[in-house]
Amino acid sequence: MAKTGSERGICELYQQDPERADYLVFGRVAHGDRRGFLKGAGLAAMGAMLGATIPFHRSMPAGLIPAALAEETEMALFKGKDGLTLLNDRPINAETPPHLLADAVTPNNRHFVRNNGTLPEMALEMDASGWSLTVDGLVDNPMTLTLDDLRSKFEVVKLKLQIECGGNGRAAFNPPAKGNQWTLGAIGNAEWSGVRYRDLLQAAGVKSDVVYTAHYGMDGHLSGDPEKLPISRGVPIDKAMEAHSIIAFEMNGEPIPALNGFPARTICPGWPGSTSQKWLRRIELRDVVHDGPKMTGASYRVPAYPVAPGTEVPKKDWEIIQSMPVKSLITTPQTNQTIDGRSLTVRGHAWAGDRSVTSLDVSIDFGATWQAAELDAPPNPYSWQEWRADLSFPQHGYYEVWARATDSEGEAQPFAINWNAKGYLNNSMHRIAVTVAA
Amino acid sequence: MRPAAVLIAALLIGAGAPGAPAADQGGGVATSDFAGLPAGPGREAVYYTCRACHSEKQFTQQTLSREDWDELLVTMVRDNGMEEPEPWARTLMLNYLATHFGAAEEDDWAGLPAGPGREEVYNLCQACHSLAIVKQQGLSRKAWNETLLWMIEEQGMPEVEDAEMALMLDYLATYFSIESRTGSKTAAQ
Repeated sequence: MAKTGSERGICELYQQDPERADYLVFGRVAHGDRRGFLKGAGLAAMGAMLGATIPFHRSMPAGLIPAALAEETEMALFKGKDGLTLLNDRPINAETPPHLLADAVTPNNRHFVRNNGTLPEMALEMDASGWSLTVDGLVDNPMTLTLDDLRSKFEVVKLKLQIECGGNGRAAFNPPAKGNQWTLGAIGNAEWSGVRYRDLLQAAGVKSDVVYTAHYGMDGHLSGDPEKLPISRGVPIDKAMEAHSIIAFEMNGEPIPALNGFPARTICPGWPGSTSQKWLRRIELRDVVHDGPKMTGASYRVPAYPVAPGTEVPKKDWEIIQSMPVKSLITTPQTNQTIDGRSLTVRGHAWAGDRSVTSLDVSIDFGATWQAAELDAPPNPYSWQEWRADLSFPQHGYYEVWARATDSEGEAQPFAINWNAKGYLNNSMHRIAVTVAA
Repeated sequence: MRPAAVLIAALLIGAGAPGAPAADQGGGVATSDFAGLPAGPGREAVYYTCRACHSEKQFTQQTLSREDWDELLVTMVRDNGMEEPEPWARTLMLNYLATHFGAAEEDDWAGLPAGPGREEVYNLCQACHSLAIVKQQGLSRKAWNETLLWMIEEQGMPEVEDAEMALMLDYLATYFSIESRTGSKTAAQ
């Protein structure tokens, strides 16, 4: 807690004489080329103060105060989330335990966070006055729009849309897959307000050779290198033109929280969350598949054919993930409960990427027999759907309740994982444990 | 002069940055040995502040966590007449005390298990991202190698010597291996 207090003192010291301050605080002596020079204990001290070491310290100008404040602020923002499991604190990656996802519309403080870089200043300050969105590339009329422009020039729509991280469920992969070890809760279904992506594109005029969009955000690369983007993905033009793809500027009737993309983001519902670019500043239309960071290599790609666990797949055989697969969650009750009596109502949600869910079945006997749950239609396409089922247990003992959704194309959730090296698309059935008391 | 004033004077005038203090530079000024305190940022601040009233032996015998050192400084100010140091000087002193007379080593390494290569992994990885992402993984040495090369080639990680790379890979493949995640060797490829 001394850090906040030390901020001002150090600032004052640096204002008076930056080079002397450097020396006094960190033992750093400026060389002739005005670059700072840190080594040994001085570097360690600066690192200790920041809670991090400094990779580019050799080129860090003398007299520059490290911008450590932002990281503390991100963690303060995370503390505003309710009950989320923190997988990584820099950058912030956090998921929601299933029982906290019981609401039909996910509240802002329970929506998962998957960040790739550092939050932009604008989001930390929650001030969009300097914000604009550029639409350019292969368009007839390149546009630059403020938030007011978006609200006044286009129809504002309000939709409940599911966003799921492509790596949700990665923790269950064996051999383990690289990346954040998401279990079940990298999914949310908030009500988003914004303008249709296609209305924006039609106003700009899409040239006939456009095949892909490219999204650019304002978040910073973790290395601090201003030339690097942490992530820049996009979607095929058809997905952007789909009626439920939007440029959102409100989440559940409020400005989008800083961690979730203030002031605006794309939402390409039903596709990996990374296509819903946060802190959006630019959309470029391209005549090639976008090749920004995390579009290439194995990022958000799976092998074009099923592979045995552990198989290495040549680069040419990786395909970009499009729609997420059919999936469901049991949100009530929380797993590992003991109940008195022999009956129990279970509830949850089901969703299916670009498709809809047509049936939901539950089992209390490890999949030997199934019973149909009551399943609601979605309030709008791309929202998850509510389901519930009344269960009766024949006797006391240990049970697992399994849920299995089937989509509009007849595909159901599998029991096992279709393994892939990056740990994507685990839509295996959710299981909870229930003990029926004697 | 009061202790804090002594400190400020020593730092801003006496020490004469950036030319000295002499002990760091191998010179021979009278105050240069700092009563044998190990060299490092914060030594001067600790030396002048603490030794204004008591011997360095009062604290060189201690092994305390940063929190405990923090609490001790609070006590010194509240009960023992020490002047509240400037916030930056306080941080500096805490860094020094926790570094050289610190307990709770695990905290210092963000929970990385002890072993050759820990320091290299800690310094290079934590420079940009939390070690939480490292500790979640269970990968083969080959996959760790690919990861570090990707970090260097695309993510701005500084290049490292071959020996240092090998040390890091050994460390990562030992403590964050496939077996460490799955608890079995059968899954290893």
